[in-house]
Amino acid sequence: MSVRYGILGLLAREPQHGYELKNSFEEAAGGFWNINYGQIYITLDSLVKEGLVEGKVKAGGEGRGHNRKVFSITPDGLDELKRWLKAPVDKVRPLRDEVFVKLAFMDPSNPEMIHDLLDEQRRLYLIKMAELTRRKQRLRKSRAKDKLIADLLMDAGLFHAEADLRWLEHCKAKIDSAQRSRMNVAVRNDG
Amino acid sequence: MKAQVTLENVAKCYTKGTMEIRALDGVSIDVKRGEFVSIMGASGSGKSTLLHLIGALDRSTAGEIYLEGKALSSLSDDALSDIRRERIGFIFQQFNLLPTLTSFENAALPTLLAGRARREDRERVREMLAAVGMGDRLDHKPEELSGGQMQRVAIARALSMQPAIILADEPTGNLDSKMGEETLAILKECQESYGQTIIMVTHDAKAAAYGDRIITLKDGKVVEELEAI
Repeated sequence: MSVRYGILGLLAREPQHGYELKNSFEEAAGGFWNINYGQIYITLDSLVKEGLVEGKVKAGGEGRGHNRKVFSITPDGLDELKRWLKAPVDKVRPLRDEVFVKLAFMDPSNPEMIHDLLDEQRRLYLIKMAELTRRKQRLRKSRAKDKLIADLLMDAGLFHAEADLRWLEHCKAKIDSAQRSRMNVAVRNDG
Repeated sequence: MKAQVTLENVAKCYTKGTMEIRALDGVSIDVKRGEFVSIMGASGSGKSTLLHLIGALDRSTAGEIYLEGKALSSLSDDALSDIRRERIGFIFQQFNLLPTLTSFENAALPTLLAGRARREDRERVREMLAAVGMGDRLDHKPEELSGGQMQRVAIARALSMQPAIILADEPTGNLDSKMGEETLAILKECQESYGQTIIMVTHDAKAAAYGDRIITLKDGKVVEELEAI
Protein backbone atom coordinates (compact mmCIF):
# COMPACT_ATOMS: atom_id res chain seq x y z
CA MET A 1 0.00 0.00 0.00
CA SER A 2 1.74 3.12 -1.23
CA VAL A 3 0.14 5.75 1.03
CA ARG A 4 2.00 4.04 3.84
CA TYR A 5 5.36 4.18 2.08
CA GLY A 6 4.60 7.61 0.67
CA ILE A 7 4.26 8.90 4.21
CA LEU A 8 7.42 7.10 5.33
CA GLY A 9 9.28 8.60 2.36
CA LEU A 10 8.07 12.11 3.12
CA LEU A 11 8.95 11.82 6.82
CA ALA A 12 12.40 10.53 5.88
CA ARG A 13 12.95 13.85 4.11
CA GLU A 14 11.79 15.93 7.09
CA PRO A 15 9.48 15.69 10.12
CA GLN A 16 6.03 17.13 9.42
CA HIS A 17 2.65 17.80 10.98
CA GLY A 18 -0.11 15.45 9.95
CA TYR A 19 -1.95 18.21 8.15
CA GLU A 20 1.16 19.14 6.15
CA LEU A 21 1.46 15.60 4.85
CA LYS A 22 -1.61 15.93 2.61
CA ASN A 23 -0.05 18.67 0.50
CA SER A 24 3.42 17.14 0.46
CA PHE A 25 1.96 13.80 -0.58
CA GLU A 26 -0.07 15.23 -3.45
CA GLU A 27 2.84 17.34 -4.61
CA ALA A 28 5.20 14.36 -4.60
CA ALA A 29 2.67 12.42 -6.69
CA GLY A 30 2.69 15.15 -9.35
CA GLY A 31 -0.95 16.07 -8.71
CA PHE A 32 -2.18 12.67 -9.92
CA TRP A 33 -3.18 11.34 -6.53
CA ASN A 34 -5.64 12.99 -4.17
CA ILE A 35 -5.66 11.80 -0.61
CA ASN A 36 -7.86 12.81 2.35
CA TYR A 37 -6.88 13.67 5.89
CA GLY A 38 -8.69 10.58 7.20
CA GLN A 39 -6.42 8.27 5.19
CA ILE A 40 -3.36 10.13 6.42
CA TYR A 41 -4.30 9.93 10.10
CA ILE A 42 -5.33 6.28 9.94
CA THR A 43 -2.03 5.44 8.27
CA LEU A 44 -0.05 7.56 10.74
CA ASP A 45 -1.75 5.75 13.67
CA SER A 46 -0.79 2.34 12.37
CA LEU A 47 2.77 3.47 11.56
CA VAL A 48 3.11 4.77 15.13
CA LYS A 49 1.77 1.48 16.52
CA GLU A 50 4.36 -0.46 14.49
CA GLY A 51 7.11 1.79 15.81
CA LEU A 52 8.03 3.06 12.33
CA VAL A 53 6.99 6.64 13.03
CA GLU A 54 6.81 8.68 16.22
CA GLY A 55 4.71 11.71 17.00
CA LYS A 56 5.92 14.35 19.44
CA VAL A 57 3.89 17.19 20.85
CA LYS A 58 5.77 20.36 20.13
CA ALA A 59 6.08 22.73 23.09
CA GLY A 60 3.75 25.68 22.67
CA GLY A 61 2.18 24.04 19.61
CA GLU A 62 -1.37 24.99 18.76
CA GLY A 63 -4.29 22.77 17.82
CA ARG A 64 -5.55 19.58 19.32
CA GLY A 65 -4.91 15.85 18.98
CA HIS A 66 -2.91 14.95 15.87
CA ASN A 67 -2.55 18.57 14.88
CA ARG A 68 -0.24 19.33 17.77
CA LYS A 69 2.13 16.54 16.91
CA VAL A 70 5.09 16.65 14.61
CA PHE A 71 5.74 13.22 13.12
CA SER A 72 9.16 11.85 12.31
CA ILE A 73 10.52 8.54 11.05
CA THR A 74 12.23 6.11 13.46
CA PRO A 75 15.35 4.03 12.63
CA ASP A 76 13.05 1.00 12.15
CA GLY A 77 10.93 3.13 9.82
CA LEU A 78 14.01 4.02 7.75
CA ASP A 79 14.92 0.31 7.46
CA GLU A 80 11.38 -0.52 6.36
CA LEU A 81 11.43 2.29 3.77
CA LYS A 82 14.77 1.09 2.36
CA ARG A 83 13.52 -2.48 2.14
CA TRP A 84 10.44 -1.31 0.22
CA LEU A 85 12.39 0.99 -2.12
CA LYS A 86 14.67 -1.88 -3.16
CA ALA A 87 11.92 -4.41 -3.89
CA PRO A 88 10.53 -4.35 -7.46
CA VAL A 89 6.77 -4.16 -7.92
CA ASP A 90 5.45 -7.50 -9.16
CA LYS A 91 1.93 -6.37 -10.09
CA VAL A 92 1.15 -5.04 -13.56
CA ARG A 93 -1.65 -2.50 -13.85
CA PRO A 94 -4.95 -4.22 -13.10
CA LEU A 95 -7.21 -4.73 -16.10
CA ARG A 96 -10.39 -3.54 -14.50
CA ASP A 97 -10.87 -0.64 -16.83
CA GLU A 98 -14.50 0.42 -17.05
CA VAL A 99 -14.32 0.38 -20.85
CA PHE A 100 -13.43 -3.27 -20.66
CA VAL A 101 -16.46 -4.02 -18.49
CA LYS A 102 -18.72 -2.10 -20.90
CA LEU A 103 -17.34 -4.09 -23.84
CA ALA A 104 -18.07 -7.31 -22.02
CA PHE A 105 -21.76 -6.40 -21.78
CA MET A 106 -22.23 -4.98 -25.29
CA ASP A 107 -24.41 -6.87 -27.72
CA PRO A 108 -22.00 -8.40 -30.24
CA SER A 109 -24.69 -8.32 -32.93
CA ASN A 110 -24.72 -4.53 -32.65
CA PRO A 111 -21.22 -3.52 -33.78
CA GLU A 112 -22.39 0.06 -34.45
CA MET A 113 -22.89 0.65 -30.76
CA ILE A 114 -19.51 -0.86 -29.92
CA HIS A 115 -17.85 1.30 -32.56
CA ASP A 116 -19.52 4.44 -31.25
CA LEU A 117 -18.29 3.68 -27.75
CA LEU A 118 -14.74 2.98 -28.96
CA ASP A 119 -14.69 6.15 -31.12
CA GLU A 120 -15.94 8.31 -28.26
CA GLN A 121 -13.40 6.71 -25.94
CA ARG A 122 -10.59 7.36 -28.44
CA ARG A 123 -11.64 11.01 -28.59
CA LEU A 124 -11.48 11.34 -24.83
CA TYR A 125 -8.06 9.70 -24.62
CA LEU A 126 -6.72 12.03 -27.31
CA ILE A 127 -8.08 15.09 -25.50
CA LYS A 128 -6.51 13.85 -22.25
CA MET A 129 -3.19 13.34 -24.02
CA ALA A 130 -3.34 16.83 -25.48
CA GLU A 131 -4.03 18.25 -22.01
CA LEU A 132 -1.11 16.37 -20.49
CA THR A 133 1.12 17.54 -23.33
CA ARG A 134 0.12 21.18 -22.60
CA ARG A 135 0.98 20.64 -18.94
CA LYS A 136 4.34 19.20 -19.92
CA GLN A 137 5.06 22.24 -22.11
CA ARG A 138 4.15 24.59 -19.26
CA LEU A 139 6.40 22.66 -16.91
CA ARG A 140 9.22 22.77 -19.46
CA LYS A 141 9.02 26.55 -19.55
CA SER A 142 8.51 27.05 -15.82
CA ARG A 143 11.29 27.84 -13.43
CA ALA A 144 10.21 25.17 -10.97
CA LYS A 145 13.07 23.12 -9.60
CA ASP A 146 12.82 19.33 -9.42
CA LYS A 147 10.87 19.23 -12.67
CA LEU A 148 12.07 15.77 -13.63
CA ILE A 149 9.79 13.60 -11.49
CA ALA A 150 6.64 15.60 -12.32
CA ASP A 151 7.59 15.35 -16.02
CA LEU A 152 8.15 11.59 -15.77
CA LEU A 153 4.77 11.12 -14.06
CA MET A 154 3.05 12.99 -16.89
CA ASP A 155 4.96 10.81 -19.34
CA ALA A 156 3.57 7.76 -17.55
CA GLY A 157 0.08 9.19 -18.07
CA LEU A 158 0.84 9.69 -21.78
CA PHE A 159 2.32 6.23 -22.30
CA HIS A 160 -0.65 4.60 -20.56
CA ALA A 161 -3.17 6.61 -22.59
CA GLU A 162 -1.27 5.69 -25.74
CA ALA A 163 -1.40 2.00 -24.84
CA ASP A 164 -5.15 2.31 -24.21
CA LEU A 165 -5.61 4.03 -27.57
CA ARG A 166 -3.72 1.32 -29.40
CA TRP A 167 -5.81 -1.28 -27.64
CA LEU A 168 -9.01 0.51 -28.77
CA GLU A 169 -7.81 0.52 -32.40
CA HIS A 170 -6.96 -3.14 -32.05
CA CYS A 171 -10.48 -3.87 -30.68
CA LYS A 172 -12.06 -2.06 -33.61
CA ALA A 173 -10.02 -4.00 -36.14
CA LYS A 174 -10.83 -7.36 -34.52
CA ILE A 175 -14.53 -6.58 -34.12
CA ASP A 176 -14.65 -5.50 -37.78
CA SER A 177 -13.06 -8.66 -39.02
CA ALA A 178 -15.28 -10.84 -36.81
CA GLN A 179 -18.27 -8.97 -38.25
CA ARG A 180 -17.04 -9.53 -41.81
CA SER A 181 -16.58 -13.24 -41.33
CA ARG A 182 -20.07 -13.50 -39.80
CA MET A 183 -21.44 -11.74 -42.87
CA ASN A 184 -19.54 -14.08 -45.18
CA VAL A 185 -21.00 -17.09 -43.40
CA ALA A 186 -24.48 -15.58 -43.75
CA VAL A 187 -23.95 -14.99 -47.49
CA ARG A 188 -22.73 -18.57 -47.99
CA ASN A 189 -25.74 -19.96 -46.10
CA ASP A 190 -28.10 -17.90 -48.26
CA GLY A 191 -26.49 -19.19 -51.46
CA MET B 1 -7.57 34.58 -38.08
CA LYS B 2 -6.87 34.25 -41.79
CA ALA B 3 -6.76 30.79 -43.33
CA GLN B 4 -3.23 29.93 -44.39
CA VAL B 5 -4.27 26.73 -46.11
CA THR B 6 -7.72 25.75 -47.31
CA LEU B 7 -8.69 22.42 -48.81
CA GLU B 8 -12.05 22.31 -50.56
CA ASN B 9 -13.44 18.92 -51.31
CA VAL B 10 -10.05 17.60 -52.39
CA ALA B 11 -9.81 14.20 -54.07
CA LYS B 12 -6.86 12.26 -55.38
CA CYS B 13 -7.26 9.12 -57.47
CA TYR B 14 -4.64 6.78 -58.81
CA THR B 15 -5.07 3.94 -61.23
CA LYS B 16 -3.24 0.78 -60.36
CA GLY B 17 -3.63 -1.61 -63.31
CA THR B 18 -7.37 -1.62 -63.88
CA MET B 19 -8.17 -0.59 -60.29
CA GLU B 20 -8.96 2.97 -59.34
CA ILE B 21 -7.73 3.92 -55.91
CA ARG B 22 -9.22 6.95 -54.19
CA ALA B 23 -6.41 7.98 -51.87
CA LEU B 24 -8.33 11.10 -50.85
CA ASP B 25 -12.06 11.36 -51.13
CA GLY B 26 -13.59 14.79 -50.58
CA VAL B 27 -11.38 16.30 -47.87
CA SER B 28 -12.11 19.85 -46.64
CA ILE B 29 -9.84 21.43 -44.04
CA ASP B 30 -9.01 25.01 -43.03
CA VAL B 31 -5.71 25.72 -41.32
CA LYS B 32 -5.40 29.13 -39.74
CA ARG B 33 -2.22 31.17 -39.62
CA GLY B 34 -0.17 30.22 -36.58
CA GLU B 35 -2.06 26.99 -36.02
CA PHE B 36 -0.47 23.59 -35.33
CA VAL B 37 -2.59 20.85 -36.87
CA SER B 38 -1.91 17.13 -36.42
CA ILE B 39 -3.21 14.67 -38.98
CA MET B 40 -3.50 11.10 -37.78
CA GLY B 41 -4.41 7.93 -39.58
CA ALA B 42 -3.27 4.38 -40.17
CA SER B 43 -1.06 3.63 -43.16
CA GLY B 44 -3.15 3.84 -46.30
CA SER B 45 -5.52 6.39 -44.76
CA GLY B 46 -4.37 9.07 -47.22
CA LYS B 47 -2.41 11.23 -44.81
CA SER B 48 0.84 11.23 -46.82
CA THR B 49 -1.07 11.96 -50.04
CA LEU B 50 -2.68 14.90 -48.29
CA LEU B 51 0.71 16.27 -47.24
CA HIS B 52 2.08 15.87 -50.79
CA LEU B 53 -0.84 17.84 -52.21
CA ILE B 54 -0.57 20.67 -49.68
CA GLY B 55 3.19 20.69 -50.28
CA ALA B 56 2.63 21.18 -54.04
CA LEU B 57 4.56 17.97 -54.71
CA ASP B 58 1.55 16.56 -56.55
CA ARG B 59 -1.75 17.83 -57.97
CA SER B 60 -5.24 16.92 -56.81
CA THR B 61 -7.67 15.11 -59.11
CA ALA B 62 -10.62 17.22 -57.96
CA GLY B 63 -11.34 20.03 -55.53
CA GLU B 64 -9.07 22.97 -54.78
CA ILE B 65 -6.24 23.79 -52.42
CA TYR B 66 -5.51 27.41 -51.51
CA LEU B 67 -2.16 28.33 -50.03
CA GLU B 68 -2.03 31.92 -48.76
CA GLY B 69 -5.05 32.58 -50.95
CA LYS B 70 -3.52 31.13 -54.16
CA ALA B 71 -5.39 28.31 -55.91
CA LEU B 72 -2.73 25.67 -56.54
CA SER B 73 -4.55 24.05 -59.50
CA SER B 74 -4.31 27.28 -61.48
CA LEU B 75 -0.51 27.44 -61.22
CA SER B 76 2.07 26.17 -63.70
CA ASP B 77 4.61 23.54 -62.69
CA ASP B 78 7.27 26.26 -62.46
CA ALA B 79 5.10 28.39 -60.20
CA LEU B 80 4.42 25.35 -58.02
CA SER B 81 8.10 24.65 -57.67
CA ASP B 82 8.69 28.28 -56.62
CA ILE B 83 6.03 27.91 -53.94
CA ARG B 84 7.53 24.65 -52.80
CA ARG B 85 10.95 26.23 -52.47
CA GLU B 86 9.97 29.56 -50.98
CA ARG B 87 6.72 29.17 -49.06
CA ILE B 88 6.89 25.65 -47.67
CA GLY B 89 9.30 24.13 -45.19
CA PHE B 90 9.47 20.35 -45.23
CA ILE B 91 10.50 18.09 -42.37
CA PHE B 92 10.87 14.39 -43.12
CA GLN B 93 11.12 11.21 -41.12
CA GLN B 94 14.56 10.50 -42.64
CA PHE B 95 15.82 14.08 -41.99
CA ASN B 96 17.06 14.31 -45.65
CA LEU B 97 20.23 16.26 -44.91
CA LEU B 98 23.02 16.30 -47.47
CA PRO B 99 25.87 14.24 -45.98
CA THR B 100 28.71 16.35 -47.40
CA LEU B 101 27.38 19.63 -46.04
CA THR B 102 27.74 21.06 -42.52
CA SER B 103 24.76 21.89 -40.29
CA PHE B 104 25.01 25.53 -41.33
CA GLU B 105 25.23 24.70 -45.04
CA ASN B 106 22.32 22.27 -44.83
CA ALA B 107 20.15 24.78 -43.01
CA ALA B 108 21.14 27.55 -45.43
CA LEU B 109 20.51 25.47 -48.54
CA PRO B 110 16.99 26.75 -49.32
CA THR B 111 18.15 30.38 -49.06
CA LEU B 112 21.12 29.61 -51.37
CA LEU B 113 18.86 27.89 -53.91
CA ALA B 114 16.57 30.92 -53.82
CA GLY B 115 19.56 33.14 -54.58
CA ARG B 116 19.44 34.72 -51.17
CA ALA B 117 22.83 34.66 -49.55
CA ARG B 118 22.95 38.14 -48.15
CA ARG B 119 24.34 38.79 -44.74
CA GLU B 120 20.87 38.99 -43.14
CA ASP B 121 19.90 35.63 -44.66
CA ARG B 122 23.00 34.01 -43.22
CA GLU B 123 22.32 35.69 -39.89
CA ARG B 124 18.78 34.33 -39.86
CA VAL B 125 19.98 30.78 -40.57
CA ARG B 126 22.40 31.12 -37.65
CA GLU B 127 19.63 32.43 -35.45
CA MET B 128 17.34 29.51 -36.39
CA LEU B 129 20.10 26.98 -35.66
CA ALA B 130 20.62 28.63 -32.27
CA ALA B 131 16.87 28.59 -31.61
CA VAL B 132 16.74 24.80 -32.13
CA GLY B 133 19.77 24.34 -29.85
CA MET B 134 22.34 23.67 -32.61
CA GLY B 135 24.20 26.98 -32.33
CA ASP B 136 27.37 25.22 -31.21
CA ARG B 137 27.39 22.63 -33.98
CA LEU B 138 27.34 24.80 -37.10
CA ASP B 139 30.36 23.05 -38.65
CA HIS B 140 29.38 19.47 -37.90
CA LYS B 141 28.50 17.10 -40.73
CA PRO B 142 25.33 14.94 -40.38
CA GLU B 143 27.38 11.82 -39.62
CA GLU B 144 28.73 13.57 -36.53
CA LEU B 145 25.22 14.24 -35.21
CA SER B 146 22.61 12.13 -33.42
CA GLY B 147 19.20 11.57 -35.00
CA GLY B 148 17.63 14.20 -32.78
CA GLN B 149 20.33 16.71 -33.73
CA MET B 150 19.88 15.99 -37.44
CA GLN B 151 16.16 16.61 -37.09
CA ARG B 152 16.90 19.94 -35.38
CA VAL B 153 19.07 20.99 -38.34
CA ALA B 154 16.19 19.95 -40.62
CA ILE B 155 13.81 22.13 -38.58
CA ALA B 156 16.19 25.09 -38.90
CA ARG B 157 16.38 24.42 -42.65
CA ALA B 158 12.58 24.38 -42.86
CA LEU B 159 12.41 27.70 -40.97
CA SER B 160 15.19 29.38 -42.95
CA MET B 161 12.89 30.80 -45.65
CA GLN B 162 10.28 31.97 -43.12
CA PRO B 163 7.76 29.76 -44.89
CA ALA B 164 4.00 30.15 -44.92
CA ILE B 165 3.75 26.67 -43.56
CA ILE B 166 5.85 23.83 -42.23
CA LEU B 167 4.83 20.35 -43.35
CA ALA B 168 6.19 17.61 -41.13
CA ASP B 169 5.88 13.99 -42.25
CA GLU B 170 6.28 11.62 -39.26
CA PRO B 171 9.06 13.83 -37.85
CA THR B 172 9.58 11.56 -34.84
CA GLY B 173 9.32 8.28 -36.76
CA ASN B 174 13.07 7.66 -36.65
CA LEU B 175 13.72 8.95 -33.15
CA ASP B 176 13.54 7.31 -29.75
CA SER B 177 10.82 8.64 -27.45
CA LYS B 178 13.05 11.09 -25.59
CA MET B 179 14.49 12.58 -28.80
CA GLY B 180 11.01 12.58 -30.31
CA GLU B 181 9.70 14.60 -27.39
CA GLU B 182 12.56 17.11 -27.74
CA THR B 183 11.83 17.51 -31.44
CA LEU B 184 8.12 18.09 -30.85
CA ALA B 185 8.79 20.58 -28.05
CA ILE B 186 11.02 22.51 -30.47
CA LEU B 187 8.33 22.49 -33.17
CA LYS B 188 5.82 23.71 -30.60
CA GLU B 189 8.20 26.51 -29.63
CA CYS B 190 8.50 27.50 -33.32
CA GLN B 191 4.75 27.89 -33.34
CA GLU B 192 4.72 29.89 -30.13
CA SER B 193 7.76 32.11 -30.79
CA TYR B 194 7.44 32.75 -34.54
CA GLY B 195 3.71 32.15 -35.06
CA GLN B 196 4.75 29.40 -37.45
CA THR B 197 1.88 27.47 -39.07
CA ILE B 198 2.54 23.73 -38.87
CA ILE B 199 0.81 20.68 -40.32
CA MET B 200 2.17 17.40 -39.04
CA VAL B 201 1.24 13.95 -40.26
CA THR B 202 1.78 11.16 -37.76
CA HIS B 203 0.43 7.80 -36.68
CA ASP B 204 1.80 8.40 -33.18
CA ALA B 205 -0.82 9.71 -30.73
CA LYS B 206 1.85 11.10 -28.37
CA ALA B 207 3.14 13.27 -31.23
CA ALA B 208 -0.34 14.25 -32.44
CA ALA B 209 -1.13 15.52 -28.92
CA TYR B 210 1.14 18.52 -29.58
CA GLY B 211 -1.34 19.88 -32.15
CA ASP B 212 -4.02 22.49 -31.41
CA ARG B 213 -6.30 20.40 -33.53
CA ILE B 214 -6.17 16.68 -34.28
CA ILE B 215 -7.71 15.47 -37.54
CA THR B 216 -8.13 11.76 -38.17
CA LEU B 217 -8.27 10.34 -41.69
CA LYS B 218 -9.61 6.97 -42.66
CA ASP B 219 -9.96 5.61 -46.20
CA GLY B 220 -9.25 9.06 -47.62
CA LYS B 221 -11.90 10.84 -45.59
CA VAL B 222 -11.85 13.00 -42.47
CA VAL B 223 -13.55 10.85 -39.83
CA GLU B 224 -12.84 13.02 -36.83
CA GLU B 225 -11.66 16.49 -35.99
CA LEU B 226 -11.07 17.61 -32.44
CA GLU B 227 -9.92 20.83 -30.85
CA ALA B 228 -7.23 20.06 -28.33
CA ILE B 229 -7.27 23.48 -26.65
